[in-house]
Amino acid sequence: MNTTMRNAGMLIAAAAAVALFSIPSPTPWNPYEISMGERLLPPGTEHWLGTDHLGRDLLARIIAGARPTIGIGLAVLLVSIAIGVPLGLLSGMKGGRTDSIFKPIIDGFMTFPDYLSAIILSALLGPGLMSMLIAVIAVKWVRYARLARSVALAEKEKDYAAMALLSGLSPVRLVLKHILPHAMGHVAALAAADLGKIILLMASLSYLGLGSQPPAPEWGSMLSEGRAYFHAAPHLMLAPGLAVMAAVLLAGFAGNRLRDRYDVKLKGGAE
Amino acid sequence: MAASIARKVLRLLVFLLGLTFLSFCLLKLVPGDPVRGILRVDEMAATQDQMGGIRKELGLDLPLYRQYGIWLSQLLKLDLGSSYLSGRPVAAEFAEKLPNTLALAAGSLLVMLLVSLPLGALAARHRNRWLDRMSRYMSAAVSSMPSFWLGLLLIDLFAVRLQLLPPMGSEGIASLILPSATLGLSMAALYVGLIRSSLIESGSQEFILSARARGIHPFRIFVRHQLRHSLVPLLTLLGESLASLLGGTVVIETLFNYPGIGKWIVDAVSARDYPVIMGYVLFAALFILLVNRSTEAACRLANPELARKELRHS
Repeated sequence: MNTTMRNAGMLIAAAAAVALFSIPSPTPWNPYEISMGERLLPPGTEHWLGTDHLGRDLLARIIAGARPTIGIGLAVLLVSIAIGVPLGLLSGMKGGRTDSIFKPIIDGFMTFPDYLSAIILSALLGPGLMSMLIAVIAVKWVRYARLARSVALAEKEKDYAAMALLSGLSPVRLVLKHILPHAMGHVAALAAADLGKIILLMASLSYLGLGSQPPAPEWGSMLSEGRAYFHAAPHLMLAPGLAVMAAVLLAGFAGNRLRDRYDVKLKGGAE
Repeated sequence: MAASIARKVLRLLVFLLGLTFLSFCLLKLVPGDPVRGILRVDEMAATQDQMGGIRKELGLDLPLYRQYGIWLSQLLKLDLGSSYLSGRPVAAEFAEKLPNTLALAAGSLLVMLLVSLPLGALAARHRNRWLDRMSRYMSAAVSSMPSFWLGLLLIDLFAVRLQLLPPMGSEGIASLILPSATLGLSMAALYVGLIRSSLIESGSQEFILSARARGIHPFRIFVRHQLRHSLVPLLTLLGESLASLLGGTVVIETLFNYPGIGKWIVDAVSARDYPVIMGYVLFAALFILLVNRSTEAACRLANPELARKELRHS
Protein backbone atom coordinates (compact mmCIF):
# COMPACT_ATOMS: atom_id res chain seq x y z
CA MET A 1 0.00 0.00 0.00
CA ASN A 2 1.39 3.41 -0.86
CA THR A 3 1.59 6.45 1.35
CA THR A 4 -1.31 8.31 -0.27
CA MET A 5 -3.65 5.44 0.43
CA ARG A 6 -2.45 5.18 4.00
CA ASN A 7 -2.95 8.89 4.52
CA ALA A 8 -6.42 8.61 3.05
CA GLY A 9 -7.14 5.74 5.44
CA MET A 10 -5.99 7.80 8.40
CA LEU A 11 -8.15 10.70 7.29
CA ILE A 12 -11.22 8.49 6.98
CA ALA A 13 -10.54 6.97 10.40
CA ALA A 14 -10.10 10.41 11.97
CA ALA A 15 -13.22 11.78 10.28
CA ALA A 16 -15.26 8.76 11.39
CA ALA A 17 -14.02 9.11 14.96
CA VAL A 18 -14.75 12.83 15.09
CA ALA A 19 -18.19 12.34 13.58
CA LEU A 20 -19.10 9.57 16.01
CA PHE A 21 -18.03 11.51 19.07
CA SER A 22 -19.17 15.03 18.23
CA ILE A 23 -22.56 14.70 16.58
CA PRO A 24 -25.05 14.03 19.37
CA SER A 25 -27.72 12.31 17.27
CA PRO A 26 -27.77 12.69 13.53
CA THR A 27 -30.96 10.68 13.18
CA PRO A 28 -34.39 11.91 14.31
CA TRP A 29 -34.86 8.69 16.32
CA ASN A 30 -34.20 8.17 20.00
CA PRO A 31 -32.03 5.07 20.55
CA TYR A 32 -33.95 4.20 23.74
CA GLU A 33 -37.50 4.96 22.61
CA ILE A 34 -39.60 1.82 22.52
CA SER A 35 -42.44 1.60 20.04
CA MET A 36 -44.08 -1.80 19.94
CA GLY A 37 -46.03 -0.99 16.79
CA GLU A 38 -42.81 -0.84 14.78
CA ARG A 39 -41.09 -4.04 15.94
CA LEU A 40 -38.54 -5.80 13.73
CA LEU A 41 -39.09 -3.60 10.68
CA PRO A 42 -36.72 -4.40 7.82
CA PRO A 43 -34.42 -1.66 6.53
CA GLY A 44 -36.46 0.96 4.69
CA THR A 45 -36.80 4.63 3.88
CA GLU A 46 -38.04 5.70 7.28
CA HIS A 47 -35.80 3.53 9.47
CA TRP A 48 -32.70 3.18 7.33
CA LEU A 49 -31.38 0.09 9.08
CA GLY A 50 -34.77 -1.11 10.33
CA THR A 51 -35.87 -1.51 13.95
CA ASP A 52 -35.10 -4.00 16.71
CA HIS A 53 -37.35 -6.27 18.78
CA LEU A 54 -38.61 -3.30 20.80
CA GLY A 55 -39.18 -1.05 17.80
CA ARG A 56 -36.07 1.07 18.46
CA ASP A 57 -34.34 2.57 15.44
CA LEU A 58 -31.26 0.47 14.70
CA LEU A 59 -29.19 3.22 13.08
CA ALA A 60 -29.70 5.47 16.09
CA ARG A 61 -28.67 2.62 18.38
CA ILE A 62 -25.56 1.85 16.33
CA ILE A 63 -24.50 5.50 16.46
CA ALA A 64 -25.28 5.78 20.15
CA GLY A 65 -23.38 2.52 20.68
CA ALA A 66 -20.18 3.86 19.14
CA ARG A 67 -19.49 5.95 22.20
CA PRO A 68 -19.75 3.21 24.84
CA THR A 69 -18.06 0.62 22.60
CA ILE A 70 -15.09 2.64 21.38
CA GLY A 71 -14.99 4.93 24.41
CA ILE A 72 -14.84 2.06 26.89
CA GLY A 73 -12.25 0.36 24.71
CA LEU A 74 -10.09 3.48 24.78
CA ALA A 75 -10.53 3.90 28.53
CA VAL A 76 -9.53 0.28 29.15
CA LEU A 77 -6.51 0.75 26.94
CA LEU A 78 -5.39 3.94 28.70
CA VAL A 79 -5.79 2.42 32.17
CA SER A 80 -3.80 -0.66 31.08
CA ILE A 81 -1.01 1.59 29.81
CA ALA A 82 -1.12 3.73 32.94
CA ILE A 83 -0.69 0.62 35.10
CA GLY A 84 1.66 -1.37 32.90
CA VAL A 85 4.20 1.20 31.75
CA PRO A 86 5.27 2.57 35.17
CA LEU A 87 5.49 -0.92 36.68
CA GLY A 88 7.46 -2.18 33.69
CA LEU A 89 9.86 0.77 33.83
CA LEU A 90 10.30 0.34 37.56
CA SER A 91 10.98 -3.36 37.18
CA GLY A 92 13.44 -2.86 34.32
CA MET A 93 15.31 0.06 35.86
CA LYS A 94 15.58 -1.25 39.41
CA GLY A 95 16.48 -4.79 38.46
CA GLY A 96 17.53 -7.00 41.38
CA ARG A 97 14.87 -7.91 43.88
CA THR A 98 12.16 -5.67 42.41
CA ASP A 99 12.60 -7.30 39.03
CA SER A 100 12.60 -10.77 40.50
CA ILE A 101 9.15 -10.02 41.95
CA PHE A 102 7.69 -8.56 38.76
CA LYS A 103 9.22 -10.86 36.17
CA PRO A 104 7.44 -14.05 37.28
CA ILE A 105 4.14 -12.14 37.54
CA ILE A 106 4.53 -10.83 34.01
CA ASP A 107 5.62 -14.22 32.66
CA GLY A 108 2.79 -15.96 34.51
CA PHE A 109 0.18 -13.67 32.98
CA MET A 110 1.75 -13.96 29.54
CA THR A 111 1.45 -17.76 29.49
CA PHE A 112 -2.33 -17.49 29.31
CA PRO A 113 -3.95 -16.37 26.07
CA ASP A 114 -6.02 -13.15 26.27
CA TYR A 115 -9.41 -14.68 25.65
CA LEU A 116 -9.02 -17.48 28.14
CA SER A 117 -7.79 -15.31 31.00
CA ALA A 118 -10.40 -12.63 30.32
CA ILE A 119 -13.19 -15.21 30.27
CA ILE A 120 -11.93 -16.92 33.44
CA LEU A 121 -11.47 -13.61 35.26
CA SER A 122 -14.96 -12.39 34.35
CA ALA A 123 -16.21 -15.82 35.37
CA LEU A 124 -14.57 -15.45 38.78
CA LEU A 125 -15.77 -11.86 39.23
CA GLY A 126 -19.31 -12.60 38.06
CA PRO A 127 -21.20 -11.09 35.12
CA GLY A 128 -21.42 -7.30 34.74
CA LEU A 129 -19.81 -4.34 33.04
CA MET A 130 -17.43 -3.58 35.92
CA SER A 131 -16.02 -7.09 36.17
CA MET A 132 -15.55 -7.23 32.41
CA LEU A 133 -13.53 -4.00 32.54
CA ILE A 134 -11.39 -5.31 35.40
CA ALA A 135 -10.86 -8.59 33.56
CA VAL A 136 -9.77 -6.93 30.32
CA ILE A 137 -7.45 -4.48 32.11
CA ALA A 138 -5.93 -7.34 34.13
CA VAL A 139 -5.19 -9.14 30.89
CA LYS A 140 -3.87 -6.15 28.98
CA TRP A 141 -1.60 -4.27 31.42
CA VAL A 142 0.95 -7.08 31.36
CA ARG A 143 1.76 -6.54 27.68
CA TYR A 144 2.65 -2.92 28.40
CA ALA A 145 4.59 -3.82 31.51
CA ARG A 146 6.63 -6.32 29.52
CA LEU A 147 7.25 -3.84 26.72
CA ALA A 148 8.30 -1.02 29.06
CA ARG A 149 10.49 -3.41 31.03
CA SER A 150 12.37 -4.54 27.95
CA VAL A 151 12.82 -0.94 26.75
CA ALA A 152 14.18 0.05 30.17
CA LEU A 153 16.52 -2.95 30.23
CA ALA A 154 17.89 -2.06 26.80
CA GLU A 155 18.17 1.70 27.35
CA LYS A 156 19.80 1.70 30.75
CA GLU A 157 22.78 -0.21 29.31
CA LYS A 158 23.43 2.48 26.72
CA ASP A 159 26.23 5.03 27.13
CA TYR A 160 23.99 8.06 27.30
CA ALA A 161 22.15 6.68 30.32
CA ALA A 162 25.39 5.97 32.16
CA MET A 163 26.70 9.44 31.24
CA ALA A 164 23.53 11.11 32.42
CA LEU A 165 23.70 9.31 35.76
CA LEU A 166 27.44 10.08 36.12
CA SER A 167 26.86 13.74 35.46
CA GLY A 168 24.43 13.82 38.33
CA LEU A 169 21.01 13.42 36.73
CA SER A 170 18.72 11.65 39.17
CA PRO A 171 17.49 8.23 38.02
CA VAL A 172 13.88 9.44 38.22
CA ARG A 173 14.62 12.31 35.85
CA LEU A 174 16.54 9.98 33.55
CA VAL A 175 13.46 7.79 33.27
CA LEU A 176 11.04 10.67 32.84
CA LYS A 177 13.11 12.70 30.36
CA HIS A 178 14.79 9.99 28.28
CA ILE A 179 13.55 6.47 28.74
CA LEU A 180 9.80 7.12 29.04
CA PRO A 181 9.60 9.12 25.79
CA HIS A 182 11.55 6.36 24.12
CA ALA A 183 9.15 3.72 25.42
CA MET A 184 6.04 5.70 24.43
CA GLY A 185 6.66 5.25 20.70
CA HIS A 186 6.64 1.47 21.06
CA VAL A 187 3.66 1.70 23.40
CA ALA A 188 1.68 3.79 20.89
CA ALA A 189 2.24 1.26 18.13
CA LEU A 190 1.20 -1.64 20.36
CA ALA A 191 -1.78 0.33 21.71
CA ALA A 192 -3.25 1.17 18.33
CA ALA A 193 -3.23 -2.47 17.32
CA ASP A 194 -4.63 -3.40 20.73
CA LEU A 195 -7.67 -1.12 20.54
CA GLY A 196 -9.25 -3.36 17.91
CA LYS A 197 -8.43 -6.48 19.90
CA ILE A 198 -9.97 -4.98 23.03
CA ILE A 199 -13.17 -4.08 21.16
CA LEU A 200 -13.40 -7.64 19.81
CA LEU A 201 -12.69 -9.15 23.20
CA MET A 202 -15.34 -7.03 24.90
CA ALA A 203 -17.86 -7.82 22.17
CA SER A 204 -17.28 -11.53 22.78
CA LEU A 205 -17.56 -11.17 26.56
CA SER A 206 -20.77 -9.14 26.20
CA TYR A 207 -22.07 -11.79 23.85
CA LEU A 208 -21.41 -14.48 26.46
CA GLY A 209 -23.44 -12.39 28.88
CA LEU A 210 -20.35 -11.58 30.94
CA GLY A 211 -20.13 -7.91 29.93
CA SER A 212 -22.45 -4.96 29.61
CA GLN A 213 -26.12 -5.73 30.01
CA PRO A 214 -29.17 -4.51 28.04
CA PRO A 215 -30.62 -1.94 27.39
CA ALA A 216 -27.24 -0.20 26.86
CA PRO A 217 -26.76 0.27 23.10
CA GLU A 218 -23.30 -1.30 23.20
CA TRP A 219 -22.48 -3.23 20.02
CA GLY A 220 -21.59 -6.49 21.73
CA SER A 221 -24.77 -6.63 23.78
CA MET A 222 -26.80 -5.51 20.74
CA LEU A 223 -25.43 -8.55 18.94
CA SER A 224 -26.44 -10.89 21.71
CA GLU A 225 -29.91 -9.27 21.95
CA GLY A 226 -30.40 -9.61 18.20
CA ARG A 227 -29.50 -13.27 18.27
CA ALA A 228 -32.96 -14.34 19.46
CA TYR A 229 -34.55 -12.74 16.39
CA PHE A 230 -31.91 -13.99 14.02
CA HIS A 231 -34.26 -15.84 11.69
CA ALA A 232 -37.03 -13.24 11.64
CA ALA A 233 -34.76 -10.21 11.33
CA PRO A 234 -31.17 -10.94 10.28
CA HIS A 235 -30.47 -7.20 9.91
CA LEU A 236 -30.40 -6.96 13.72
CA MET A 237 -27.20 -9.00 13.74
CA LEU A 238 -25.71 -7.66 10.56
CA ALA A 239 -25.49 -3.97 11.41
CA PRO A 240 -23.75 -4.13 14.82
CA GLY A 241 -21.39 -6.81 13.53
CA LEU A 242 -20.40 -4.63 10.58
CA ALA A 243 -19.95 -1.70 12.97
CA VAL A 244 -17.57 -3.73 15.15
CA MET A 245 -15.69 -4.88 12.07
CA ALA A 246 -15.34 -1.35 10.73
CA ALA A 247 -14.08 -0.04 14.06
CA VAL A 248 -11.54 -2.84 14.40
CA LEU A 249 -10.35 -2.43 10.82
CA LEU A 250 -9.92 1.32 11.27
CA ALA A 251 -8.02 0.82 14.53
CA GLY A 252 -5.75 -1.67 12.79
CA PHE A 253 -5.23 0.80 9.97
CA ALA A 254 -4.18 3.50 12.40
CA GLY A 255 -1.96 0.98 14.18
CA ASN A 256 -0.08 0.08 11.00
CA ARG A 257 0.36 3.74 10.21
CA LEU A 258 1.79 4.47 13.65
CA ARG A 259 4.11 1.50 13.51
CA ASP A 260 5.44 2.44 10.09
CA ARG A 261 6.00 5.96 11.23
CA TYR A 262 7.77 4.84 14.32
CA ASP A 263 9.94 2.36 12.40
CA VAL A 264 11.07 5.19 10.12
CA LYS A 265 12.24 7.07 13.17
CA LEU A 266 14.11 4.02 14.41
CA LYS A 267 15.89 3.69 11.09
CA GLY A 268 16.73 7.39 11.13
CA GLY A 269 18.26 7.00 14.58
CA ALA A 270 20.40 4.06 13.53
CA GLU A 271 22.10 5.87 10.66
CA MET B 1 19.15 -33.49 36.36
CA ALA B 2 16.95 -34.95 39.11
CA ALA B 3 17.40 -31.80 41.16
CA SER B 4 16.37 -29.56 38.29
CA ILE B 5 13.26 -31.66 37.61
CA ALA B 6 12.36 -31.54 41.29
CA ARG B 7 12.79 -27.77 41.24
CA LYS B 8 10.54 -27.48 38.21
CA VAL B 9 7.84 -29.64 39.77
CA LEU B 10 8.04 -27.61 42.97
CA ARG B 11 7.70 -24.36 41.04
CA LEU B 12 4.69 -25.78 39.20
CA LEU B 13 3.03 -26.77 42.47
CA VAL B 14 3.62 -23.34 43.99
CA PHE B 15 2.18 -21.70 40.86
CA LEU B 16 -0.93 -23.89 40.91
CA LEU B 17 -1.44 -23.32 44.64
CA GLY B 18 -1.16 -19.56 44.20
CA LEU B 19 -3.46 -19.55 41.20
CA THR B 20 -6.19 -21.66 42.76
CA PHE B 21 -6.03 -19.77 46.05
CA LEU B 22 -6.33 -16.40 44.27
CA SER B 23 -9.22 -17.71 42.17
CA PHE B 24 -10.90 -19.04 45.27
CA CYS B 25 -10.61 -15.69 47.06
CA LEU B 26 -11.93 -13.79 44.04
CA LEU B 27 -14.91 -16.12 43.73
CA LYS B 28 -15.89 -15.87 47.36
CA LEU B 29 -15.21 -12.17 47.90
CA VAL B 30 -17.36 -11.05 45.01
CA PRO B 31 -21.04 -10.61 45.82
CA GLY B 32 -23.36 -13.23 44.39
CA ASP B 33 -24.96 -16.17 46.10
CA PRO B 34 -24.95 -19.69 44.68
CA VAL B 35 -27.68 -20.68 47.14
CA ARG B 36 -30.18 -18.44 45.35
CA GLY B 37 -29.20 -20.08 42.06
CA ILE B 38 -29.76 -23.56 43.47
CA LEU B 39 -33.15 -22.64 44.87
CA ARG B 40 -34.19 -21.00 41.61
CA VAL B 41 -33.57 -24.31 39.84
CA ASP B 42 -35.83 -26.13 42.30
CA GLU B 43 -38.45 -23.37 41.97
CA MET B 44 -39.06 -23.21 45.68
CA ALA B 45 -40.04 -20.21 47.69
CA ALA B 46 -37.18 -20.37 50.13
CA THR B 47 -37.20 -19.18 53.71
CA GLN B 48 -34.12 -17.77 55.43
CA ASP B 49 -33.89 -21.04 57.37
CA GLN B 50 -33.74 -23.16 54.24
CA MET B 51 -31.10 -20.92 52.70
CA GLY B 52 -29.03 -21.11 55.87
CA GLY B 53 -29.41 -24.89 55.86
CA ILE B 54 -28.15 -25.26 52.31
CA ARG B 55 -25.31 -22.88 53.02
CA LYS B 56 -24.26 -25.02 55.99
CA GLU B 57 -24.60 -28.19 53.95
CA LEU B 58 -22.27 -26.83 51.25
CA GLY B 59 -19.83 -25.48 53.83
CA LEU B 60 -20.33 -21.90 52.65
CA ASP B 61 -20.66 -20.61 56.22
CA LEU B 62 -17.07 -21.54 57.10
CA PRO B 63 -14.24 -18.99 56.96
CA LEU B 64 -12.50 -18.63 53.60
CA TYR B 65 -9.25 -20.42 54.46
CA ARG B 66 -11.15 -23.41 55.87
CA GLN B 67 -13.21 -23.66 52.65
CA TYR B 68 -10.02 -23.56 50.57
CA GLY B 69 -8.46 -26.18 52.85
CA ILE B 70 -11.43 -28.48 52.35
CA TRP B 71 -11.31 -27.97 48.57
CA LEU B 72 -7.57 -28.68 48.56
CA SER B 73 -7.77 -31.81 50.71
CA GLN B 74 -10.53 -33.15 48.47
CA LEU B 75 -8.37 -32.36 45.46
CA LEU B 76 -5.57 -34.52 46.90
CA LYS B 77 -8.06 -37.38 46.79
CA LEU B 78 -8.74 -36.36 43.16
CA ASP B 79 -12.21 -35.18 44.14
CA LEU B 80 -13.26 -31.83 42.65
CA GLY B 81 -16.54 -31.73 44.55
CA SER B 82 -20.03 -31.80 43.09
CA SER B 83 -21.74 -29.26 40.88
CA TYR B 84 -24.30 -27.16 42.81
CA LEU B 85 -26.60 -27.18 39.80
CA SER B 86 -26.70 -30.81 38.72
CA GLY B 87 -25.47 -32.39 41.96
CA ARG B 88 -23.12 -34.66 39.99
CA PRO B 89 -19.36 -34.90 40.59
CA VAL B 90 -17.47 -32.17 38.70
CA ALA B 91 -14.85 -34.65 37.47
CA ALA B 92 -17.48 -36.96 35.95
CA GLU B 93 -19.31 -34.13 34.15
CA PHE B 94 -15.99 -32.83 32.95
CA ALA B 95 -14.92 -36.22 31.58
CA GLU B 96 -18.23 -36.42 29.78
CA LYS B 97 -17.92 -33.01 28.10
CA LEU B 98 -14.21 -32.87 27.38
CA PRO B 99 -14.29 -35.25 24.36
CA ASN B 100 -16.82 -32.95 22.66
CA THR B 101 -14.53 -29.97 23.11
CA LEU B 102 -11.52 -31.96 21.95
CA ALA B 103 -13.39 -32.99 18.80
CA LEU B 104 -14.27 -29.35 18.14
CA ALA B 105 -10.67 -28.27 18.77
CA ALA B 106 -9.29 -30.95 16.45
CA GLY B 107 -11.80 -29.97 13.76
CA SER B 108 -10.88 -26.28 14.04
CA LEU B 109 -7.16 -27.03 13.88
CA LEU B 110 -7.77 -29.11 10.77
CA VAL B 111 -9.74 -26.31 9.11
CA MET B 112 -7.11 -23.79 10.14
CA LEU B 113 -4.26 -25.83 8.64
CA LEU B 114 -6.23 -26.72 5.51
CA VAL B 115 -6.97 -23.06 4.87
CA SER B 116 -3.88 -21.23 6.06
CA LEU B 117 -1.08 -23.51 4.84
CA PRO B 118 -2.06 -23.58 1.13
CA LEU B 119 -3.19 -19.96 1.17
CA GLY B 120 -0.02 -18.78 2.94
CA ALA B 121 2.14 -20.81 0.55
CA LEU B 122 0.33 -19.48 -2.52
CA ALA B 123 0.50 -15.92 -1.21
CA ALA B 124 4.24 -16.29 -0.63
CA ARG B 125 4.75 -17.74 -4.10
CA HIS B 126 2.70 -15.07 -5.87
CA ARG B 127 3.96 -12.27 -3.71
CA ASN B 128 2.33 -8.85 -4.35
CA ARG B 129 0.12 -10.27 -7.09
CA TRP B 130 -3.67 -10.34 -6.94
CA LEU B 131 -3.88 -13.64 -5.02
CA ASP B 132 -1.57 -12.35 -2.32
CA ARG B 133 -3.48 -9.10 -2.05
CA MET B 134 -6.86 -10.84 -1.96
CA SER B 135 -5.72 -13.18 0.80
CA ARG B 136 -4.40 -10.24 2.78
CA TYR B 137 -7.69 -8.31 2.51
CA MET B 138 -9.69 -11.41 3.37
CA SER B 139 -7.60 -12.14 6.46
CA ALA B 140 -7.83 -8.52 7.59
CA ALA B 141 -11.61 -8.66 7.22
CA VAL B 142 -12.05 -12.01 8.97
CA SER B 143 -9.70 -11.19 11.83
CA SER B 144 -11.64 -7.95 12.44
CA MET B 145 -14.91 -9.83 12.94
CA PRO B 146 -16.07 -11.14 16.28
CA SER B 147 -15.78 -14.93 15.86
CA PHE B 148 -19.36 -15.53 16.98
CA TRP B 149 -20.57 -13.12 14.31
CA LEU B 150 -18.70 -15.04 11.64
CA GLY B 151 -20.42 -18.14 13.04
CA LEU B 152 -23.84 -16.51 12.70
CA LEU B 153 -23.11 -15.58 9.08
CA LEU B 154 -22.11 -19.19 8.39
CA ILE B 155 -25.25 -20.50 10.13
CA ASP B 156 -27.37 -18.11 8.11
CA LEU B 157 -25.79 -19.22 4.84
CA PHE B 158 -25.34 -22.98 5.28
CA ALA B 159 -28.05 -23.91 7.76
CA VAL B 160 -30.86 -21.45 7.04
CA ARG B 161 -30.57 -20.54 3.37
CA LEU B 162 -28.93 -23.64 1.85
CA GLN B 163 -30.13 -26.04 4.57
CA LEU B 164 -27.01 -28.18 4.12
CA LEU B 165 -25.88 -28.44 7.74
CA PRO B 166 -27.56 -28.50 11.14
CA PRO B 167 -27.40 -25.07 12.83
CA MET B 168 -26.58 -26.39 16.30
CA GLY B 169 -26.45 -29.34 18.65
CA SER B 170 -24.08 -32.28 18.71
CA GLU B 171 -25.49 -35.08 16.56
CA GLY B 172 -22.76 -36.64 14.49
CA ILE B 173 -20.00 -35.24 12.34
CA ALA B 174 -22.27 -32.89 10.38
CA SER B 175 -22.99 -30.76 13.44
CA LEU B 176 -19.23 -30.38 14.00
CA ILE B 177 -18.59 -28.81 10.61
CA LEU B 178 -20.00 -25.33 11.18
CA PRO B 179 -18.45 -24.74 14.63
CA SER B 180 -15.08 -26.06 13.45
CA ALA B 181 -15.21 -23.94 10.31
CA THR B 182 -16.05 -20.83 12.35
CA LEU B 183 -13.23 -21.28 14.82
CA GLY B 184 -10.78 -22.55 12.22
CA LEU B 185 -11.41 -19.67 9.83
CA SER B 186 -11.09 -16.99 12.49
CA MET B 187 -7.75 -18.50 13.53
CA ALA B 188 -6.57 -19.02 9.95
CA ALA B 189 -6.98 -15.30 9.31
CA LEU B 190 -4.17 -14.62 11.76
CA TYR B 191 -1.88 -17.34 10.49
CA VAL B 192 -1.97 -16.85 6.71
CA GLY B 193 0.19 -13.74 7.03
CA LEU B 194 2.62 -15.37 9.44
CA ILE B 195 3.02 -18.45 7.25
CA ARG B 196 3.47 -16.23 4.19
CA SER B 197 6.26 -14.16 5.73
CA SER B 198 7.96 -17.19 7.24
CA LEU B 199 8.01 -18.91 3.84
CA ILE B 200 9.26 -15.79 2.09
CA GLU B 201 12.04 -15.55 4.64
CA SER B 202 13.06 -19.19 4.16
CA GLY B 203 12.65 -18.91 0.37
CA SER B 204 15.50 -16.42 0.16
CA GLN B 205 17.93 -18.78 1.94
CA GLU B 206 20.93 -19.95 -0.05
CA PHE B 207 20.16 -23.67 0.19
CA ILE B 208 16.77 -23.07 -1.44
CA LEU B 209 18.39 -21.08 -4.23
CA SER B 210 20.90 -23.87 -4.82
CA ALA B 211 18.17 -26.51 -4.80
CA ARG B 212 16.28 -24.44 -7.37
CA ALA B 213 19.46 -24.09 -9.44
CA ARG B 214 19.86 -27.85 -9.45
CA GLY B 215 16.45 -28.06 -11.09
CA ILE B 216 14.56 -29.77 -8.27
CA HIS B 217 10.79 -29.49 -8.67
CA PRO B 218 9.41 -26.44 -6.78
CA PHE B 219 6.81 -28.54 -4.97
CA ARG B 220 9.49 -30.90 -3.72
CA ILE B 221 11.62 -27.96 -2.59
CA PHE B 222 8.60 -26.55 -0.79
CA VAL B 223 7.73 -29.74 1.07
CA ARG B 224 11.20 -31.10 1.79
CA HIS B 225 13.19 -27.94 2.42
CA GLN B 226 11.09 -24.84 2.95
CA LEU B 227 8.42 -26.34 5.21
CA ARG B 228 11.15 -28.01 7.19
CA HIS B 229 13.03 -24.77 7.55
CA SER B 230 9.85 -23.06 8.78
CA LEU B 231 9.03 -25.90 11.15
CA VAL B 232 10.00 -24.14 14.37
CA PRO B 233 7.91 -21.00 13.79
CA LEU B 234 5.06 -23.22 12.59
CA LEU B 235 5.24 -25.39 15.71
CA THR B 236 5.31 -22.31 17.94
CA LEU B 237 2.27 -21.08 16.08
CA LEU B 238 0.48 -24.37 16.54
CA GLY B 239 1.18 -24.29 20.27
CA GLU B 240 -0.17 -20.77 20.54
CA SER B 241 -3.31 -21.65 18.62
CA LEU B 242 -3.88 -24.72 20.79
CA ALA B 243 -3.73 -22.48 23.84
CA SER B 244 -6.03 -19.86 22.39
CA LEU B 245 -8.44 -22.56 21.19
CA LEU B 246 -9.48 -23.09 24.79
CA GLY B 247 -10.77 -19.50 24.94
CA GLY B 248 -12.24 -19.68 21.45
CA THR B 249 -14.23 -22.82 22.18
CA VAL B 250 -16.05 -21.06 25.01
CA VAL B 251 -17.55 -18.52 22.61
CA ILE B 252 -18.23 -20.94 19.78
CA GLU B 253 -19.74 -23.65 21.98
CA THR B 254 -22.11 -21.10 23.46
CA LEU B 255 -23.09 -19.92 19.99
CA PHE B 256 -23.78 -23.40 18.63
CA ASN B 257 -25.25 -24.70 21.87
CA TYR B 258 -22.60 -27.39 21.76
CA PRO B 259 -22.24 -29.50 24.93
CA GLY B 260 -18.51 -29.05 25.61
CA ILE B 261 -16.63 -27.66 28.59
CA GLY B 262 -16.82 -24.11 27.21
CA LYS B 263 -20.60 -24.00 27.32
CA TRP B 264 -20.43 -25.71 30.71
CA ILE B 265 -18.30 -22.95 32.26
CA VAL B 266 -20.54 -20.18 30.86
CA ASP B 267 -23.58 -21.86 32.40
CA ALA B 268 -21.69 -22.30 35.68
CA VAL B 269 -20.81 -18.59 35.79
CA SER B 270 -24.37 -17.33 35.74
CA ALA B 271 -25.32 -19.76 38.54
CA ARG B 272 -22.06 -19.10 40.44
CA ASP B 273 -21.49 -22.84 40.56
CA TYR B 274 -18.21 -22.61 42.52
CA PRO B 275 -16.94 -26.21 42.23
CA VAL B 276 -17.39 -26.20 38.44
CA ILE B 277 -15.63 -22.84 38.04
CA MET B 278 -12.72 -23.95 40.22
CA GLY B 279 -12.42 -27.22 38.30
CA TYR B 280 -12.29 -25.32 35.04
CA VAL B 281 -9.62 -22.91 36.31
CA LEU B 282 -7.46 -25.81 37.41
CA PHE B 283 -7.92 -27.62 34.11
CA ALA B 284 -7.18 -24.49 32.04
CA ALA B 285 -3.94 -23.83 33.94
CA LEU B 286 -2.74 -27.43 33.57
CA PHE B 287 -3.71 -27.51 29.90
CA ILE B 288 -1.86 -24.28 29.05
CA LEU B 289 1.27 -25.35 30.93
CA LEU B 290 1.21 -28.74 29.21
CA VAL B 291 0.79 -27.13 25.78
CA ASN B 292 3.66 -24.71 26.41
CA ARG B 293 6.01 -27.42 27.63
CA SER B 294 5.24 -29.74 24.72
CA THR B 295 5.62 -26.93 22.19
CA GLU B 296 9.07 -26.19 23.59
CA ALA B 297 9.99 -29.87 23.48
CA ALA B 298 8.71 -30.22 19.90
CA CYS B 299 10.72 -27.18 18.80
CA ARG B 300 13.83 -28.65 20.37
CA LEU B 301 13.25 -31.91 18.52
CA ALA B 302 12.65 -30.09 15.23
CA ASN B 303 15.77 -28.01 15.60
CA PRO B 304 18.48 -29.56 17.81
CA GLU B 305 20.51 -26.36 17.39
CA LEU B 306 17.99 -24.61 19.69
CA ALA B 307 18.52 -27.15 22.46
CA ARG B 308 22.28 -26.74 22.20
CA LYS B 309 21.96 -22.97 22.41
CA GLU B 310 19.78 -23.24 25.51
CA LEU B 311 22.35 -25.50 27.16
CA ARG B 312 25.08 -22.98 26.49
CA HIS B 313 23.01 -20.16 27.96
CA SER B 314 22.02 -21.92 31.15
